[in-house]
Amino acid sequence: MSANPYLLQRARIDWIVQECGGPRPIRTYTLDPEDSTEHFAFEPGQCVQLSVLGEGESFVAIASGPEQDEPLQVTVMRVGLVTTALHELNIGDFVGLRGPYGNGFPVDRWRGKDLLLIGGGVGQAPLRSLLHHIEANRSEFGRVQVFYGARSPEAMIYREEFAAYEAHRDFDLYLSIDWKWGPDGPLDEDACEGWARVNLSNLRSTRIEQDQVRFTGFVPQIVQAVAPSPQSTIAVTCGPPAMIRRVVEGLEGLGFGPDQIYTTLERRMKCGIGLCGRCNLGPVFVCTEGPVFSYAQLQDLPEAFA
Amino acid sequence: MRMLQAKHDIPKLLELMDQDRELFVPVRDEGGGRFARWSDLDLSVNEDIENTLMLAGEATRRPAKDQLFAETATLFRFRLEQGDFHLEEPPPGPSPRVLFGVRPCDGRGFQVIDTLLVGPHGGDTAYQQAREANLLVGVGCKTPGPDCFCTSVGGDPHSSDGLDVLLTDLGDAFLLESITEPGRDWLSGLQKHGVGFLHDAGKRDAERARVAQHEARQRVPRQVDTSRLPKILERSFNSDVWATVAPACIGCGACTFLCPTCRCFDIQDLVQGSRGARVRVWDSCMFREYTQEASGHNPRIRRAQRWRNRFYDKFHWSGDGRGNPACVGCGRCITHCPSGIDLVEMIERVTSAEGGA
Repeated sequence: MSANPYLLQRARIDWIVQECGGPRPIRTYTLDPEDSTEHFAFEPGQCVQLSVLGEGESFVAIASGPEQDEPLQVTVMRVGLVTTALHELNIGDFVGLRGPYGNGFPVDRWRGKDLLLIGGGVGQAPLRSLLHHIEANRSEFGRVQVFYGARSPEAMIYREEFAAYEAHRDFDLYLSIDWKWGPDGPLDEDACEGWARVNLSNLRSTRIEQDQVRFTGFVPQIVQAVAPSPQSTIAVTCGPPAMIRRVVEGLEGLGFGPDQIYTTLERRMKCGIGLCGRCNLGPVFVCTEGPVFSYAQLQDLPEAFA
Repeated sequence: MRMLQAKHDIPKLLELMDQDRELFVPVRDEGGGRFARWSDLDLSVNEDIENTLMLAGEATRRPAKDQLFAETATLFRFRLEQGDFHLEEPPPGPSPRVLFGVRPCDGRGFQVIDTLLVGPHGGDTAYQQAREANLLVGVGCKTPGPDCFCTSVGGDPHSSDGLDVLLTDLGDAFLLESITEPGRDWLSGLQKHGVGFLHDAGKRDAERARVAQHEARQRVPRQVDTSRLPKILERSFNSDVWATVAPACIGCGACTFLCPTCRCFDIQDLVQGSRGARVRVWDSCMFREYTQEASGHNPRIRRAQRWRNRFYDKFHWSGDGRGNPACVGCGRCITHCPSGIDLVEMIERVTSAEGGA
């Protein structure tokens, strides 16, 4: 008989960063797992079950890199019961922690290749973990292009980190904010100053100035405008389901094969360990066999894009 | 090991069973039947026992599953402090029990749940402890119920799969056969104390049992061809057939709660003052909330999608690990569906709609 798999350890909240405000604020929590005297080991893309005792658990992607010197971090949007309770905790309070769970990104298979990281909203969290890993092992990867979009400049997360990337040119960076749409299409006046607009009538003809980092447009549109080459390249996209669908369509149009496109899926989760049943895509559980899937895998799984 | 037990001595046998292990038996009640603790029953005369215990093949409304996969089970307890918490020592596991009168389909149901409540990070401890603590003594179905179709899904009214001991009704007596090692040990223990009413069975008794089992098999009222389902389901996910059942379904979840192989659960925290418990409680894939995400997104928002998911899970995605589907043909979901949705008819509908060429 196995040990009780629902047991958790205490983890102290060492630091809290408010990434953005609004009706669904996002915060990054630095955690110190009490039982892990050694490093809390995991792969980029893996998740943990985070508990606010008395409220319940939430299955969240790890946002920090896996290297030894990085503290464990999660980035959480306040949206349900547990995440609302989490947002009410302070530095020094304790949460429950179990994991890591899920499969993580197959980074070992990506070494030597060019990478596209395409994130939207709080979906950037697992990509940040991946990005930190790439940063720590920069020479093992080729060209790395990072796309990240949010609703508005204020809604962007990891802003300081992106600013540092921009300053140091570690990666090719494409930050974007969403169009605001009126009844007749995008509202021109909402295009922010300093955020270049993509050519909506012909995305591919958008002129992209050298060093231009900030754009106005939905993430899939920016990817189309930049039109990265599929040659020896892996694309990884995480974000809202609608964004993922569009990004994948666009990448296919650019010539990316289904085995060159990876994404992470979200489902409602309870146990996180493949027992409670609800996160299934047909016979596959997202919590244990995901959350990372290649598009090739998803084409064979029912309700993957439901 | 085979023993013979005269029916009129059944109360003595049950008393004996209740000595070393707590005994649970299927009893008739106004709720349609359930398993109850033997020592809680007040039965003294044989007539009472014949009328109260459900040993002839009719199903308790609630399957034996309830006894091992409890509706609510504590995963652990905790104590809350300001901004902090501490876990408490787990309570001791369950004491040894005998589940007497398990229908063979319910026994097969446990084999399905065994495969589902285990994952790469271990199995559900409460279920595994209960599984180990319970000796399963099945009674074959002499007269299967009106909605039974076990023989269509790899079962039999006298299947011994998943059971430790199987009883066969010989009219005036029961034949007791041990199936597993623990079953044999338990039977020989009974024999030592049951001198005078528990007898060694002879070859003739075994032959009578085979005849009774064969006759019972002929009495299973419903048959449906499920052999083509795996192939058909491979190409029927987007069929229109799923929409045809949705209007009738009211999404009550009775089919899943009464199913001997459904094990989906929710996890909740119960708190009173500073004391709390994390519990797992039954849930149902027939509920919209089951897959409702906090963001508002729901990948199975439509009833037809939920129905399709349940059907696929029973007949395509899950199984008993031995090549059989995750449906054991007990008929409860048919008998108790408030909308009269009939799983056997649904199998036929899927097969005829999608079975061509």
